[in-house]
Amino acid sequence: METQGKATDTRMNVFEAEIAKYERRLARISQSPSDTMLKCNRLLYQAHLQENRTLLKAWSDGKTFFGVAALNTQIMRCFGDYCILPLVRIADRLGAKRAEEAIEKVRAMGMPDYACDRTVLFLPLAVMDNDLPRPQVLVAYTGSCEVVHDSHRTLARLLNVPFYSTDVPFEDPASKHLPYVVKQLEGLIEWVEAKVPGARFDETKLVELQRYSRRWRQALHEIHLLRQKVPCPDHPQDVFREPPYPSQFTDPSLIVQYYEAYRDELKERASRRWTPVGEEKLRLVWAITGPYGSGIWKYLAGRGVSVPFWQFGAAPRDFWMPIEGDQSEFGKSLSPLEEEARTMLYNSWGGIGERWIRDTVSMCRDFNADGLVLFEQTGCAPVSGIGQIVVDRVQGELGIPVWRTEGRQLLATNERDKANFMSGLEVFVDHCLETKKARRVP
Amino acid sequence: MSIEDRLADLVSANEVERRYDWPRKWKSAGPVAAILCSYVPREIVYAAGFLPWRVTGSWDGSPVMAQVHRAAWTSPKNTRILELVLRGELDFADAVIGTDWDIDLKRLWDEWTILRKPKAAEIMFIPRYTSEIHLSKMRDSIAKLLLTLEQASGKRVGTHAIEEAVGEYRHMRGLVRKLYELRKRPVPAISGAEVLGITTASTVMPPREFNSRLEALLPLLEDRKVQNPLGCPRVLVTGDFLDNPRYIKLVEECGCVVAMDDLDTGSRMYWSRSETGISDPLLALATEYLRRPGCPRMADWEGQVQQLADWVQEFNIDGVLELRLNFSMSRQLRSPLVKSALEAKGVPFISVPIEYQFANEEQLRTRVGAFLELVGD
Repeated sequence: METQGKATDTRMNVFEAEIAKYERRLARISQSPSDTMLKCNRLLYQAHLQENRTLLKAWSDGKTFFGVAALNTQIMRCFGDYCILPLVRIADRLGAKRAEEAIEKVRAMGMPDYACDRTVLFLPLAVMDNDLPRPQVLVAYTGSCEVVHDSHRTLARLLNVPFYSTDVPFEDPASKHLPYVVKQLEGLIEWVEAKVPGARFDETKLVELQRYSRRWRQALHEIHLLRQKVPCPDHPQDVFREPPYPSQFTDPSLIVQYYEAYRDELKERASRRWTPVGEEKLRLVWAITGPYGSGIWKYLAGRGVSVPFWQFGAAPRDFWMPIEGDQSEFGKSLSPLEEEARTMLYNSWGGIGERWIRDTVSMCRDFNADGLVLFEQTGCAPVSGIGQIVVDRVQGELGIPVWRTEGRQLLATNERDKANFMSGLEVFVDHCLETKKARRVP
Repeated sequence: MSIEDRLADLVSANEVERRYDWPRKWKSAGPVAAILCSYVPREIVYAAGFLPWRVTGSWDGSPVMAQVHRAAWTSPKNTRILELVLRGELDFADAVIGTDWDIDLKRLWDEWTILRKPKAAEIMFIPRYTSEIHLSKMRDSIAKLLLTLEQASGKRVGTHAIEEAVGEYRHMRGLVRKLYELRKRPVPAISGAEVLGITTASTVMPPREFNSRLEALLPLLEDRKVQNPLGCPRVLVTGDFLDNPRYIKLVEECGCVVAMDDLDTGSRMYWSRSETGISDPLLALATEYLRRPGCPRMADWEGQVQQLADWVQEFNIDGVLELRLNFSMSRQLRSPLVKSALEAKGVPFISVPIEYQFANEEQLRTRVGAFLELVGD
């Protein structure tokens, strides 16, 4: 399965395409390093490259894979030498061409093509034997996005493999629901041991992974604070990068190292008040998602626009809420399984709408935002229906403009859509600059 | 009143012209709770002195106000309920009770409670599984609902009131099940559209009044026969949030006998069993609601398919027609499983997307016509 020199195309399986992509990326940044992007990005690309090589080899060696939704990866890593197939992340990284091909297959399978890209695009890939390895079990949970949960359970039926789900309540306060989720996680452990021959849960492994996770979140918290500085030391494109969980990688230390280096680089930039956007003229908070692979982040940086915060479902827990080891949130120190449950119980858009609205407003306030972009992805159920309420609340409480726009991460990226989006963004930036000026006039 | 008049009177109780009459009348005696989902235990709402009134969305016009808030790909039913909310037509509700049936319904509850600020509001977490842990969690959700209603009414609800309410709804279930028995005959005594009219009536009328009317009507239906001739295929209609009998009528006009349904507005509300062995009334209710035939949002898809297969046998069904509300994610994801499982048993199945308001009539006739050919084959 040699990939060196091959262009990314649909004849490759998913891992081969990823390997080719990261090889190209690493070669490019070696040949012409960017002045504005983080130097440590090399570590991230190397981590992805290594992980995809590991998975490709594991597949060819006939190892067992678990299909796992994000927050279950940490527990699922603790059963022995098994591989994790993070299906949503795989969908996220498909690229427009492969995504368009996948959605055609989604339609042909009779599945909903109106679901968001990351929730359904992996379905056809996972059922074709040549794109991804067949998982032996599938594991998901509710409480953040039930469509992700439902697509995992659908895939389990399509592949005829066992499926386990943890039912996560959406209501505050989360502390009330901790025992309920923990009991189900105990059930998950029993279930895996029963379904997978040879699988034995190792709690010390979980504790070790939580140590990585704690360091990772600690770094993210510090990055969060550094991004609040004026001017923001981070580039919009780097902000718009969903942090992968360390446990999603076979070697979790790689991701921890990346975010610690990221933090150190931002700290250094902040110490000399350097920002990759030149003179910072505007600060926008970006919410939900955005068009992947587009040039909008470079465009914004070119206009002196910082995007210091990207608000999405997992962002509060990852960037600013209490982390592993904290005793204040639940009034006691938590057991390893309780720590897992804690993370599952707070997802910004997984709760009632007020949770998402409150978090979004407060992030706009904390980051001293001059505007908010709500990129409502077609099919993103968790934030549907409350966008206008966010607009009214942000405008009412903070007096800043909000742009509500609908689009998709990967799909429907034709030239006309791109041009429409760019002209909308340009108008919004102009509007924010005008209102910022007006706010300053006494 | 003739039998036909009595029947028509009950069948039309949730028609646009009449569905608001019930809360209007009730308001002189007590508060009204607007209910958004069949997993809300009406027994508790009724025991707390509220009229449990299931909300139906607008069946006509364009939901122009709601479209400001809701995208084109969201549930058309919820959009049409929001339209009524924003028009102020549901402001009479003293409490709004939702569930997390899916995220879309949760967001409808958010929109209603944030934009109109009702006096009381509760949203219930409904577990997707039915093990002891999940039943106990459902019991917590019911207890929380009860507390909200007690705070809203300022009255404590005793065990006796709960038992009485449970008894009233148990009686309702028995009566509705007798109604369904009349559908098993080779020529049913009542049409599918009429049954849906009655079951939706049961969600808006005071339960005692509904029970007394249905109880009086049932013996009169014994000798009745629907007009569809013998030999028409017997069809089971499956779907969610289908509350407009016009859809069922169309299927029947195409030449089907809709002899059974798998609807949360129909059979699924009434196929539960009373949990008499459980002394805690809230846990008994939790068990009853979670263990009844499930909606696609519930985990046990295989059990749901088996339930369909059992009904196919019991009601001598020739084919299953899924009227799938547009943008109903869990149903659409489940659909291929149902199709392959039923077809493996030799039962034709077709899934047809529908709007919430009655629309696209000719297209639907074409699709139902195709289904009839399939059943004929």
